[in-house]
Amino acid sequence: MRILIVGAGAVGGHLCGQLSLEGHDVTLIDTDLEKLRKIENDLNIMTIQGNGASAEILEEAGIKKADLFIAVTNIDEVNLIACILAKEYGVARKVARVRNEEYLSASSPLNSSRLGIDLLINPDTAMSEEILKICSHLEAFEAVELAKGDITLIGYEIRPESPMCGINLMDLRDLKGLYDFVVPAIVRQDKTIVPRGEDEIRPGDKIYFIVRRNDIPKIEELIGVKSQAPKKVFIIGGGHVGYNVAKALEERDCELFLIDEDPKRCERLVEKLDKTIVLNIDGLDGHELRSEGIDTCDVVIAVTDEDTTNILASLLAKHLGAKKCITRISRPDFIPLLGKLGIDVPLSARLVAANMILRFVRRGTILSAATLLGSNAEVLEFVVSSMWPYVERPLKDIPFPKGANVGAIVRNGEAEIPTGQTVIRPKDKLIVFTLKEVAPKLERLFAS
Amino acid sequence: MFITQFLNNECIIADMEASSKEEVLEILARHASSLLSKDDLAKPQVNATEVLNVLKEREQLGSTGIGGGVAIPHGKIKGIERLFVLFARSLKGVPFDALDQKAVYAIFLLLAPEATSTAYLKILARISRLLKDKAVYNALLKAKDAKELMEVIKNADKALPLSI
Repeated sequence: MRILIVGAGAVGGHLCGQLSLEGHDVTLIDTDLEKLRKIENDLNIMTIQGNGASAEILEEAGIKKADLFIAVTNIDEVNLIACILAKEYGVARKVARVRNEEYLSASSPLNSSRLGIDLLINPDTAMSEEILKICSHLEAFEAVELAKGDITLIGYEIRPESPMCGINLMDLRDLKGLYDFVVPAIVRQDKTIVPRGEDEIRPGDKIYFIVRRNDIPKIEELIGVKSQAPKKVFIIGGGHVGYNVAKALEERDCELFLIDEDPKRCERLVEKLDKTIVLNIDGLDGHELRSEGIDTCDVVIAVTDEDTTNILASLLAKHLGAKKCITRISRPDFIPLLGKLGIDVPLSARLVAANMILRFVRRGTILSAATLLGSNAEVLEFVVSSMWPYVERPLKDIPFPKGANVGAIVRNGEAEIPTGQTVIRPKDKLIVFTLKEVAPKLERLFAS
Repeated sequence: MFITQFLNNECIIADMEASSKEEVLEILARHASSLLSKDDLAKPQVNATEVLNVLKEREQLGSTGIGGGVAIPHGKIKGIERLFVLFARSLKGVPFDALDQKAVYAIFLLLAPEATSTAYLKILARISRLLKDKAVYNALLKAKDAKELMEVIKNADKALPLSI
């Protein structure tokens, strides 16, 4: 596929890396020559210096032959105009990053359908959604809904006291019937492993499970944790994300505190929120936080605009006794480091946005895809065509590339966790877990 | 680790009279708590209601009737000191809300200390594998009495590869 990306920031850079790795033909446009040089050095892509909202530059970048257009500069209007131009050049699919909420609502005179843009993505909204998802499965470090929500890919860190330590994958397979799930991957010391039968689970491993959504409590029982809905939540930072998350959590039955340093912002927040207690204090003031009861809270969500504040506020809250922290980070490079410091869930708004775009980009034979946050793996959904040569064959006879495995099958709307004996039928929807570098091979297998 | 390490003749009910899932769980809980106190395996002593509540809680997450006539109720019990296994057979079959909606004939109960170890899941996996073997299952249904049942389980257990 020929892809044009406008904007060489963190989102654009991440998308370039991902899409060129998968063998797509990527051209990147940005006004900043230095940024382009930096990305060019790391990746095999073409770059063009110039304004992405200029027809001349777009023509030079080969827009007439592009299949997909992604505009992710820091300026909403540039992204929108670039996409409108792309539409005029007949590019089939267009994605724009937009911050201003005015462009995003369905009632707005300028919304995605009127502009002819396939996906408008707001990093703050994407971030808020991700945080809320994590809040519903507090013991998990990641949860992704698949197959319209019937299947969940959920990841847990295995503590030394868990009965899972020392169990191998073969033992787990014997539990089928009592506990139905697939373990598609284990992240061990920042490396993603696709486990085989004799591989043992070790303390500290991060394990992904693919399960039916209703079976999540069973999985938690098995590994010895229990996710309860958070009863007491502290949000540090009253910006868009902080406000969105507070607003949504007000619907759930929990005690909510929102902290911001700016007294004016606090006043506005008090007017807009009903059940949330808005506190005008410093998120780094341990004494104040403790007197408000941060020591007994279930989760702290640090979403100010400053990385350092978010990191320190999270560590302080954990030190005071908060059970879990979700921390917004704008520099994705920090993420691997933060786990070691004791930050439970570091989230980069840009990576979250980039992942959402990738999910959209992969359509066609692939229905949807989710890129897993701290790992080089993703989950794809394929629909089996009746022409596929492996139809009516058991799963174990299908030559899946090494590094990919089937986590679930959705048949007639019913989700099933398969074994090697499960026979594939036409129209089955397969949920396949794969290491990123294997994804193109997998696509070829399904296109055969 | 073998299943039979945790099993003696008293842990086998060859002909359980029960007509509902509830009744099965009650009988198992009563039998387990009396054996646990007799052998001094739990401190303080565990009463049948406690065991029953744990089993029911687990059944609420999803039936342990895994189909093919088999059920493996299990759970963690505060105070018990080691794994505890019971085998019960219903000759007539009992409805157990099983995955395949069919009656259940062979039932293994597994109880584990609250601070569980790998052994718990290993034995659970082993019981599950043993019962999924059709030949073993049929032999369990045909066995004359508790002594023969014990023999069948022992032989099948020995034949399974040890994974520890």
